[in-house]
Amino acid sequence: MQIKRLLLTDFRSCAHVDLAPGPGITILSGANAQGKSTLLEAVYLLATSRSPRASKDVEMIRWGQEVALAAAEVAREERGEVRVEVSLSRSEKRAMRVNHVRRVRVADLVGHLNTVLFSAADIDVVRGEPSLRRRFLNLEIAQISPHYCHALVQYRRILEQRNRLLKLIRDDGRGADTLETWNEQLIAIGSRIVERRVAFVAELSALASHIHSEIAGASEQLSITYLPSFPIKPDEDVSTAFRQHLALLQRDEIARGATLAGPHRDDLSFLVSGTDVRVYGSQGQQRSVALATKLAEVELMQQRVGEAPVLLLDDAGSELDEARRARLYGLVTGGYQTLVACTDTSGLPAEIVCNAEQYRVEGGAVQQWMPAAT
Amino acid sequence: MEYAKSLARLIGQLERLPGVGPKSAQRMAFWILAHPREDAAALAEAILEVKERIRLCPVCFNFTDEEVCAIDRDPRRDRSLLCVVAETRDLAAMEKTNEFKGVYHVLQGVISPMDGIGPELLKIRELLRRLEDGEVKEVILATNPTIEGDATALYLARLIKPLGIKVTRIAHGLPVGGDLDYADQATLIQALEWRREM
Repeated sequence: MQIKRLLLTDFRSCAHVDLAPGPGITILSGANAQGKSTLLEAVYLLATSRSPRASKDVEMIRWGQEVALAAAEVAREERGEVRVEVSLSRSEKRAMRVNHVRRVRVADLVGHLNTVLFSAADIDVVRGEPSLRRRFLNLEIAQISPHYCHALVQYRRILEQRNRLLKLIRDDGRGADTLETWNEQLIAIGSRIVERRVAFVAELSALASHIHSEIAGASEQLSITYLPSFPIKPDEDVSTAFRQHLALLQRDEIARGATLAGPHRDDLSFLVSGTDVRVYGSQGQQRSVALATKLAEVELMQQRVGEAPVLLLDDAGSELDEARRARLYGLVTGGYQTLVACTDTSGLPAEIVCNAEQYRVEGGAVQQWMPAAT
Repeated sequence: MEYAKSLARLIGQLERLPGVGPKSAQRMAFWILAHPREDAAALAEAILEVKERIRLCPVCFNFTDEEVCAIDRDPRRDRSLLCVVAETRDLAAMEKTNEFKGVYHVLQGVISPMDGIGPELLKIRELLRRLEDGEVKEVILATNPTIEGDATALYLARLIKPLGIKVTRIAHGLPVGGDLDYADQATLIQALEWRREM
């Protein structure tokens, strides 16, 4: 799959950008805070409906402007060309469009453009808070499964309602007779999410383990496992296990006014040769695991979607050592459309730089750039 | 420029209506101003009359300006078939089809803890009382296919099933005359889930 055209209007520092990246590598270079990461952010937003760094839409609107727009024309091998668009507003809800038709559901936007983002923050998936690992799972699975994406939106809504109800039961003593119906919805949608994640992690783990042994040596066996917040016995239905555990928690949940088990409290573990890398791994090990996981994701997405995803590299090589960097860039030259953001090209291997289209990003403006032959 | 006090007051009142922004409110106010006094009086009267005359039908909780609403007075209606909807406007939508010959029950809302709405605020007790005499053989739950609509339907099903009355849920899926190609994915998924054997 290929982005034919990327359009930004008043998106962060970019007043107006109209970029037509080639089918191979596009290098976006420039000093810090000039807007190169912004271009990748826009692509990521169009692919996942989420920004990798902004928590609120207004952060992505150019100062003094009311509305920001990001749009991409994507050529897909099977479905032909599709245009995805997100417009953000200071006063209204964001509007999403697919082929110019307004879409209300996130699940209708996500999946038209598939991307994998590599950045220096990848290591946080391994060593950071559990919420970062859940976010990682959600954004990756949503890109290959609209069903999952829709279930997530529903689950969040159920969770909000149920948490509110638990507080009402605790504070006013009312509504206890409706808890059962919210439980049913929580279990139905929550179990679907857990099942999907378990299956995804199993596939991801197999691929990542293989890649990891190439990066770190055959003695370092990586395995990724899903850690549900409630015990699931082998051969037991996820929904049965979830229901049983909720029954045990009910008193606690009412006392705390919060839902204490479910996919919103689950986690992942990364084990290398049986040791938890999050706790005991060196920084180098954590980086290898993070990179292997991301590379596995590219492969998995490609298998699932049937097309190569667009790769986004945001200063991705800077923290890696020589061998790992070579592995990452080896992938880039393997036929993916890739957008690379970097301060300058000195850190990039020569075979990438001379095969790439180059652009300079300065003050939010993008200009094609022909480096002087050396 | 600031509007004269009484004009500003009208604009302010109109702005409070749903779907009306400051611009529309201004246009409406100027329209009223430009038209004869009788037009304004008719509008004001209509507003007041609705407040004075419209009440909830004591049987189905539809809005009516008579003792019992027209549907519940109609002897041709099939009283063994009861369709439960959340709002009066849902009832109106069903009626437009001219297909449904049963009777209705308007809950006047759906369960939503976030909005402080529990079952005690809906017309659920009244619904159960209606089911007591055994005349109703099937209850069709026609709340919206949203999280809250589903929760309400689920809650009602749990209450009604033990009474030995058949409980059904309206299907959700593809719009009629719609193109599979254009259906959003969530709807398609629903349509697949609710498929039936042919």
